[in-house]
Amino acid sequence: MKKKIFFTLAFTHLTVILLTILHVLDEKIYHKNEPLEKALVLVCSINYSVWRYGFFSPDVGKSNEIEIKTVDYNGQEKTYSTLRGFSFYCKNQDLAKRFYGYKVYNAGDTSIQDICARSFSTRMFNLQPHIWKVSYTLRSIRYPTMKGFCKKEPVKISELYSTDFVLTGN
Amino acid sequence: MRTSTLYKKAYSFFNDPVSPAPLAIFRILIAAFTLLQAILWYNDWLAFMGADGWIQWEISEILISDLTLHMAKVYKFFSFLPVTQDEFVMGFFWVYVISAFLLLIGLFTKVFSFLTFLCHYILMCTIEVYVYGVDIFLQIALFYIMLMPVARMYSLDAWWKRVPTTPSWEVTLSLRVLQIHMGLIYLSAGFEKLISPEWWGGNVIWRSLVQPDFRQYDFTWLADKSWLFITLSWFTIIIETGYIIFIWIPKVRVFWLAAIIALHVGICVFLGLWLFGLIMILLSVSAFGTDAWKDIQSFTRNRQRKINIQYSPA
Repeated sequence: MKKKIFFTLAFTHLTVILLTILHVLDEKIYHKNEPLEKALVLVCSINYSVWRYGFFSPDVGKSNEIEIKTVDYNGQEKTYSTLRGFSFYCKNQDLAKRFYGYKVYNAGDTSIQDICARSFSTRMFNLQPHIWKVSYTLRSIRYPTMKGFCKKEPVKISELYSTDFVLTGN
Repeated sequence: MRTSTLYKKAYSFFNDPVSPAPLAIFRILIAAFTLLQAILWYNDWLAFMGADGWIQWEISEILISDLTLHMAKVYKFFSFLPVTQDEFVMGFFWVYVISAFLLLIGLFTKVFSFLTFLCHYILMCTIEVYVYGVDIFLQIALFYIMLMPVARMYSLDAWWKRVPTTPSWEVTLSLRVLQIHMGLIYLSAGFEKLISPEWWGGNVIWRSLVQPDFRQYDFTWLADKSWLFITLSWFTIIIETGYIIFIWIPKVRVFWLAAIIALHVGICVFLGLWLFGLIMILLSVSAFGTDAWKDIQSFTRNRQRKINIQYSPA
């Protein structure tokens, strides 16, 4: 009996993975059957079986830049840009890479840009007690294809979100 | 082939006892990886996990589903402890590290595999906006380690006879699930690339190499050598899509495993994603490394026998 249960669970697990990666679940189940969809989201958060593993696809050509400008009480301005090596004070490269995901997440979801900008600016204020203003800008960057690069096509940069935070009062 | 024969073969594939060594190696490699990642994280732990990190708890909590387990919820649960939020988060780090270490040496493996899995799960829920491939694959691996009989060899539990040490159907079934899951992962990775026209012309690899998030070296001088990127793209697609089939064929298994390792070494060196590349290599080695090693040994033995026959006196 124990063996039958284990075999059934294992085959169900592998079948769910197969159906997900072949794009069957999203068409047939997701967006149609709410309780089942919720269950699958929960399973996914636990073991990522309901997940597509298409890493580096379809496209990693889109990139984003975060620029943070600070002004201190002496009027000195300082600019931190992820394009010019700012890695959020991370001690190693692997942790700094995590901000790639953060930037993509932000660029794709306008509803969270403002709260994330607030959170980042608060962190800058906490780290640097001598500053009174933080300007936060998120830009989208599109690199040319190989053909485009040979034809000297420029890198396309567009501003997605920008805001200023100022400390007021005494 | 008759259906009954096919059924028997399939049943024996999932049922006939195999050595618990691959699963023990899987446990050791993944636990060691968990420790390595935690060590690299130590100095920046609060910047990511802390209540006042880059994304504060109030915000990261609303970005995830209610059903998941955020660090803030865990802190509330342990609110009777006389510690600040930062002290609690650092305490959590040490619980995670100690449980991963005990998992590595295989002491009370079931308990500490669950605790390591739970800690990693909380960690992922807390930093959802920073999660990428390495976390997802570590989560999958820890999930399997929690459920599979991974302590039957190379563990203190096995040494002290706290767990059975003989091969059994549980070991076979577990190993097959891991192997098939790895096959499906690469099938998915290859398939998603295959349906993406950006991949066919090599532009995805080109852009990954030149964009600042991943750039390690200046490759812009290769822009007019599109054949190179097209070749690399199709090599990736073929190796990933074919993995699910060719990794089972003894004659090509070593080549396929070596090719997938080379692919991930490339990701490490040229895109700087060291931990991601490493965990993918460890997963493939755990699933198929023992079989590949047997293939190499058998190839060497056959070669030695041929040489002996050739030089044996008449």
